[in-house]
Amino acid sequence: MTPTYAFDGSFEGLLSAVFVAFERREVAALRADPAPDLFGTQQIIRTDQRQAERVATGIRQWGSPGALDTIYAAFLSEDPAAPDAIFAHIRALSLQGRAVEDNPLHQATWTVHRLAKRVGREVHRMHAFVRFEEKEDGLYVATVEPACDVLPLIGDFFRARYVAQRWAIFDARRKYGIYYDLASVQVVDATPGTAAAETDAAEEDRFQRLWRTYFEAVDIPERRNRRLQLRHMPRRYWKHLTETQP
Amino acid sequence: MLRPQVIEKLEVLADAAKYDVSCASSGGNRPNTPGGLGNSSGMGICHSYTPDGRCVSLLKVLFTNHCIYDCAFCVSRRSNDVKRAAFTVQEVVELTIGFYRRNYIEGLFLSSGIFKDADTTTERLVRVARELRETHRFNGYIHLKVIPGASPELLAEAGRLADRLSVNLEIPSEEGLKKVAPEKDYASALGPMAFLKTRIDDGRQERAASKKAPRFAPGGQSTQLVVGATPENDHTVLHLADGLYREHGLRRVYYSGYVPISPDPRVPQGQAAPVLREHRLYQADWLLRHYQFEVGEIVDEAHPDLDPEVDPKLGWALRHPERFPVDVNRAPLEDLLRVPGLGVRSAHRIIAGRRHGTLRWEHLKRFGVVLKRARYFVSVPGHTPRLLERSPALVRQQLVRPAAAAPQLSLFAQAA
Repeated sequence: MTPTYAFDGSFEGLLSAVFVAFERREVAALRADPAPDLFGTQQIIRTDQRQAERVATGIRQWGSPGALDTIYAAFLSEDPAAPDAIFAHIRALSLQGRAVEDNPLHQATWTVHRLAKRVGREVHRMHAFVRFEEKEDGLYVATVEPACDVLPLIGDFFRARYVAQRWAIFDARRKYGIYYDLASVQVVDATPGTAAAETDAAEEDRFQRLWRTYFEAVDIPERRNRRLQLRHMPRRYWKHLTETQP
Repeated sequence: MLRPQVIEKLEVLADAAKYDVSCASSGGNRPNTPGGLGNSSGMGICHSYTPDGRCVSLLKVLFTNHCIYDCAFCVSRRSNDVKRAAFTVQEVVELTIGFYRRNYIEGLFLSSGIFKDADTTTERLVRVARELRETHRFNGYIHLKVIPGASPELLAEAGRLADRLSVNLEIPSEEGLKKVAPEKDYASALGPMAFLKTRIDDGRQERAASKKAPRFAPGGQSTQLVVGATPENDHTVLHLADGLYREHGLRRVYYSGYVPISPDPRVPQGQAAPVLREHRLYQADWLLRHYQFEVGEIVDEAHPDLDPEVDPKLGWALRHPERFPVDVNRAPLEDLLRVPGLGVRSAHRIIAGRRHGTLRWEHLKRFGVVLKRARYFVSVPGHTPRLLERSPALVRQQLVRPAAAAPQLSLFAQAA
């Protein structure tokens, strides 16, 4: 019977479980949330940074330069199929190298790429749909509700773009955020200073009104095409977009 | 601080600019600087979409909609009784910076009606760009409109500051242009285009030699052709576009279906904007730029208009059954690119995939090939299509009106 390894839900935890499976030369099912252990077949795998790093090194060796990023992105999809697919994909990489990445019929590889693509699309949408509000102390704050856990992947983009501007992006669904203090991007539990700093209401309000005015002015009613609009900008994003808020 | 009147100006001057679609935020690739604001990625980002399905990427405004010209198709023509407004340089700068900081936009697209003369107008636009780049250390995207007749010194300054420049030919033939805008001609647009082409090419060469060399409109030039305001056919439009790409080195040509907003009798009244025709033109444009098609293969004297029923690639394939089926395991890239339902990405995946083994039908779907179309045109082990050879008309019927096609035809012969 296939053993089950339970890891702590982190990427390092997943890679640690992969390491242990390789070491014991066994194929295991990987679970992030330990299910009830009815048959006593579940083993808790401790997260070990060095073990995780060795697996990462292996991936870099066996696969193309983007292989590790693809695997990390697939992990961030939070899809329940991800851990097992990632494990099978890494096994295939260790045996066949890059050839596996060009083979779409390998089921696990296909799943990993599909999930990574899904996350990539969400990342691109975050670049587009994050809307900042300026607070009185000069901090620019945004709230988002992404379908997958993309905050780890968007910090660099916003840091490069707004290098001289303090900003924070909060994931309302996962209840954590990233905050840039002009030196580095850090993970935070809540948007810093929200309790204290108020929005500079008048100024911020003016810009939001200006943006809404602009958005309405550039529409061409003779070319109305709601389906096309929704295809590019699904309604679930509208809650946090200044121009589509009521 | 922006005064309250700015909101009214914005409404007027954004509305006036919305028919210029020559306005993506791509082609940049400008990194930020220490202490600066913004950058631009090569691909461009669409920050929002309006109810007409079009993307909002830049703050797209006219500096002013006062204009000394009277072009029949333009909402801002001088004889039109429309509300007029003008920004100050400071106002455009503050709007751009304020929107940019909030991640509403990738940058600024600035055009203008012509007030006083070309140079006075251009000088104002250049001043906005300079303020943004130098005073505010802005490294986001700037697209400046070139005013026909502007002097070379001002054009050069514009190129130094902007990522992309464009001047719109608007009407796809000079005779057409003369009928609706007798004060304009092609020379006043093609002249600046040629001047800028030389400067852009020089700029690119200098930067290839040294990263310290200054940028000159790194995103190149684009232009817009309005279709449906005047009677040119697709043959004329596409030959013009092809010439602009080949000889004038333009990065993009945009096609804009005419929206009948003008009661002037020189332009059509009351019809819907020709969005399907516009769509087919973009498909044809893609064939020219990404699929290695020659313009003569898409339209010619005998077929001067694009078929509204089928996309141009499928249209070509149906006219050339002798070029099919394409053997997915052996065909070179240029033949793969000719298969309807097989795009550039799929073609590259096929080439990468077949290095590792023989490709079969099951691979194609995962490579992103649209099998419903491609199946008439490709062969893989176990699948050799025969219907195209026997009757392109029936293949066409299958793809355009699948329900009406005769059900008892056997579409495929199994390989022996």
